[in-house]
Amino acid sequence: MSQALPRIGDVLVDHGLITESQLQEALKLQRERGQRIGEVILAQGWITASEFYSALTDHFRKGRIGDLLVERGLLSEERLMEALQLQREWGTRVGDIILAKGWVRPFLFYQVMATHFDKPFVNLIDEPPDEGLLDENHYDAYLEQLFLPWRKEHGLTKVAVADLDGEIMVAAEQVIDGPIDFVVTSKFDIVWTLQKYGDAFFSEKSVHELRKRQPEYSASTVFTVPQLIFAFVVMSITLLAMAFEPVNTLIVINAFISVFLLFNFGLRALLTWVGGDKRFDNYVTDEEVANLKAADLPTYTVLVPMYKEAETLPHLAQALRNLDYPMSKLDIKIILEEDDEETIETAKSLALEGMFEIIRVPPSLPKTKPKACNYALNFARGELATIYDGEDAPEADQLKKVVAAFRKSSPNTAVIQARLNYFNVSENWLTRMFTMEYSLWFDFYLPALDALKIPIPLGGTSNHFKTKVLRELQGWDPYNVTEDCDLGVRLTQRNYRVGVVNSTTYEEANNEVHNWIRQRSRWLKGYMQTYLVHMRRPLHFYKTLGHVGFWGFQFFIGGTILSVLLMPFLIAIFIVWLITQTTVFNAIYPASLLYINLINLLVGNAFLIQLFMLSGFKRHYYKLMPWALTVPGYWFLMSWAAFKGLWQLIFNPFYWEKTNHGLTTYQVTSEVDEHSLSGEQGSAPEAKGS
Amino acid sequence: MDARQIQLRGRENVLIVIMAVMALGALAAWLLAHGFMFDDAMVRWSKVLGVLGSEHIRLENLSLLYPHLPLYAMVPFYYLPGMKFAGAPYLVSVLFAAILIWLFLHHMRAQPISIFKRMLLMVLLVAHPAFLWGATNGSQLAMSMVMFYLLYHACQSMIAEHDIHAYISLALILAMFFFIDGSAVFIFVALLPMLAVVAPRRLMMVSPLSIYFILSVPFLMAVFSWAWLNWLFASDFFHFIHDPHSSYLGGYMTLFNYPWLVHYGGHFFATLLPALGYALAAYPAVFYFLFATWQDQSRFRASFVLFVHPVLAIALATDQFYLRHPIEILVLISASIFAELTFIDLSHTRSYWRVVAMLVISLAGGWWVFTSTANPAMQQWLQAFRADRVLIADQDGALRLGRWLATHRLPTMIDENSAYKVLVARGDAKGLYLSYTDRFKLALGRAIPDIDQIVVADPTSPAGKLDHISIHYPNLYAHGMPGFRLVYSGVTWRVYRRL
Repeated sequence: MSQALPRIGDVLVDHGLITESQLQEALKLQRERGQRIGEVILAQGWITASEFYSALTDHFRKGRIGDLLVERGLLSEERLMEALQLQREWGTRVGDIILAKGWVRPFLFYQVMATHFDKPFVNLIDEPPDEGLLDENHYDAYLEQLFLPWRKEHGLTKVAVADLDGEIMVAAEQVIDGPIDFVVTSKFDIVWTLQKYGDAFFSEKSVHELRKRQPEYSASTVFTVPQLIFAFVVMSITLLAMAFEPVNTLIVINAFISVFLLFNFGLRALLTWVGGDKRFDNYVTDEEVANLKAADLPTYTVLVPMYKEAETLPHLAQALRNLDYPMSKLDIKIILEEDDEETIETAKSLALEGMFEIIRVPPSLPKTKPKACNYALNFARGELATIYDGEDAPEADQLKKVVAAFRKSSPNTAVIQARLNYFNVSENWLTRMFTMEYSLWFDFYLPALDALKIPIPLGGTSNHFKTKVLRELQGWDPYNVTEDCDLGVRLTQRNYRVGVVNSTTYEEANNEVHNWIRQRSRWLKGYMQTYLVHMRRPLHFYKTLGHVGFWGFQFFIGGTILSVLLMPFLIAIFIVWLITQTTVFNAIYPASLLYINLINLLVGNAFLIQLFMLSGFKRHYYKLMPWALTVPGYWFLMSWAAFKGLWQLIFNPFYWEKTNHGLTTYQVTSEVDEHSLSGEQGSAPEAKGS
Repeated sequence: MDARQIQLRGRENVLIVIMAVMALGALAAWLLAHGFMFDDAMVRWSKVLGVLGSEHIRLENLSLLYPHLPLYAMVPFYYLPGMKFAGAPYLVSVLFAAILIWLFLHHMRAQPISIFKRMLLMVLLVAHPAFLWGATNGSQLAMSMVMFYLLYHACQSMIAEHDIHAYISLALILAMFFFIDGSAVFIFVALLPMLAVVAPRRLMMVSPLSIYFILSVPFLMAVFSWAWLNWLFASDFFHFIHDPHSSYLGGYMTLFNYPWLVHYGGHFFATLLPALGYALAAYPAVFYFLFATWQDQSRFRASFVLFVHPVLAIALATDQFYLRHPIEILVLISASIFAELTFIDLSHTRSYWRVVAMLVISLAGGWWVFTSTANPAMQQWLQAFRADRVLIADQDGALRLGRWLATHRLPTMIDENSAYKVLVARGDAKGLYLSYTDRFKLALGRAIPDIDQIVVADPTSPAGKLDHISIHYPNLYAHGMPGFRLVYSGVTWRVYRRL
């Protein structure tokens, strides 16, 4: 038989929180108003809610959540035992585990939670908050601790919370004026309500935050006035020189191009050598991953921006479920555009577990992935945050590897990039080439850039951030169509390190040329944007990056753009000369330049072929290696995309060329092996274009 | 071994390398002072003199009949004072031998053995006649030894660590080898079956072709690039094979001058046995390596390759009438022994002294093979080495003519392909119209050349048979030419000057 609890007023007096006379006054008011004594005391403002509830914990906790769920038949005894076991391992609350596992529907769960805390349950959809109480200056605090001021009753501001712990109570008291008390609601209701009322605020923030706070890093202005003047001066001088000294001018241009390309090849050779070091392949060992204690792992936000990808959603959800990470520490945001009703409906119909949240991004321009991610970043609760695309299949231990990598990296490491590769490797020529290119990029170049302290152009997905730093930098630039590349450079400029980790996310390689051109033109346009943004103040840029970083950026980012734009002209000159044996070009190819051009042509192309082969070899994609001989053809596609990107940079700079996903006939998987390379593809999602 | 000790080792190694350079340099100087001059070295140096002495420096004028990297290595020495008279090729050889020694010591620095023990090893390795021949004869052999050392190291890394760097290195070394040594093709082809031994087992089971791809493509690209440059500058993809003066032909065009080719040329299998015999006699240390690594699969595979690869290369090169003497490739075993020693644990006294003993035996065997099978050039080297005063070989009078031209500096038309020794003896090519210059080509197009001075070789001499001037004006040597008078007449060569 349970012992009767002392009365609330007596406890408060005993704790010295109120005086005897205040108690008497409260009792009088209680009789007059018919309220509960606690509400009266709180409304008088004699003590704060956090003081009140911490003194009266036993009065407001009715049994244990798990037991209550079992009592109500919402949870079986076995599952409760399992949840308790997981609680010991993961170090999170039982409720979070039950929700993350999807064992109880959130609506029912929070009702039980309300009973547990002896507080009323409110459904914010049916009983919306008083909009006047919401202060957009405090949206960040609402979202961080998941509460919102709901309504004002009897002098008390009722705060809707999804949990009632001291930290939340203190946070609420700090941002809400006057005495407060609490009601319980679902965390999803809080998120949805804040989205609903904070729509304009969050949209504005996601689009304009960077532009307002650090306009020098925003690509919203494509060409600055000094850049236009510089371009005008250079072009004028060139034209004048061409008019008076055409041959010498062409020799100078030729020399510039030749030497630049030579250095570009040189840098790539260096990167291949440095990045080939096997320590990068074993930066985090399996043993280190096994030694991680689940209880010590941080909460991880996973952002998944999707647009019209309803069919890939179930595969993505499964891939995320497969992550070897405590589910209750996962905060997965499926980011959908509000007009993408099909995907939203699919997401709803999947009845995803509690670790998934759907964030609906209201329509605004520019309609880009970085804007959507910025929007969702407002709702992120993880200490770390990452991005996956809809068709991604990360290796199961990736998040743990990243945590281990952060722990063994220098404190200024702000982001860690995982490797990207493809699961539909052998689908056709394009996917083979794309796979080799990606392997080269992520398995050789990026680790080398990290080692040499050259800014790393982050890949589109699987970059794992410290959320705090990401917010400090105002997230991604929504005007930059390769926002990750830009962010990598910005981070390096702010003296943060961009690291890499030996874990791979498998994606769907573009298997269709037009689709590939769309995607690649966007990437190259984004590189051009990034180059222009960071070269607005070249001296400052030089100062912040140092010699290696600056020149590495010039030859890696600038070199990538310039080489693909120039390649068709150089090849055209070569072919014309080869066929006609004309002597027209002799004048602009003095001996020394001829030798450099010969090195570029022979050594450069041979080197690129070899690099593609090496990438296949290192990944154990041996069957791809002969295809490396066709890399010159791939370069033509790159050039085509580059010119399209350049055209768009001038005439439609912020247009986001959407890449269609779900075109592959291969199964989404992170298990890519020799069978995959033989063209054995398993069951596949239906092909779909959009 | 801590960082400080390794740093100390580094300083000691620098000292040892300096001593080695001084010793090898002194030996090279001794050899030159005693009349040794290697024909290959002179041909190469004359190319450098010719091109760098031209008004317009064009690399293609080095001709595409020789691997270019040894020529480029000599370029800096052209500008050093005192180097113009033939010393540069020998100094380059010595420097590359020093690089090999430094690499060896560098890779040995973690071995806990004293400086004296390291020096003893180095002396025993350096005193091997094959190494000394390669390090002091002014040819590309010293560079080849460095490449072979790196090649063997890469093979070892591939076996031991399956490291991508090993594959990249090996592929690049093979490609570079083609631009260093005409025998690279044979080294490359001989390595192909050996790859099955050095490649990781799993790789060979999963995708044996992949290793051939990764290692062959750069080499084949190098060959293709060279062929393309031949087409570009000589209008023939296979100019470097078709031209009888090409060094890529080795002894093919003059095989009757070389007993080795006369006996074994064109016979692959018949060559294997003598090649094996030479290798075992000159390098019995290889026996020890095979025996010592018997228990260790991966190490044994490397030792096996160290031994079999050069033997196969000798057989192939002889089969194709390339190899003038097996020592041209056996020299490379010296480099791989250097490399092999860096993988042996020499911290145990017993194993160290066993190695020393085997190196002493190898020294004896090496000298015996070298002295008993030496070809004329090697004999000349031996004679110079033994300090028997040798008169500088100038049977065709080229050196005398060169010295005369050095004091009679008029614009002169001369074919450097036949007169390379003349160029070397003159010390530079300033004021000379060499075979690739426009002036030379225009002059040959006229009945009477518009040149102040013409050098012509006796058409009946070996040089005259190659000399374009002599071939174009067959009567010039004997009867002169209207408007020209004879100003110099020596063995083989005459000089006519315009009136």
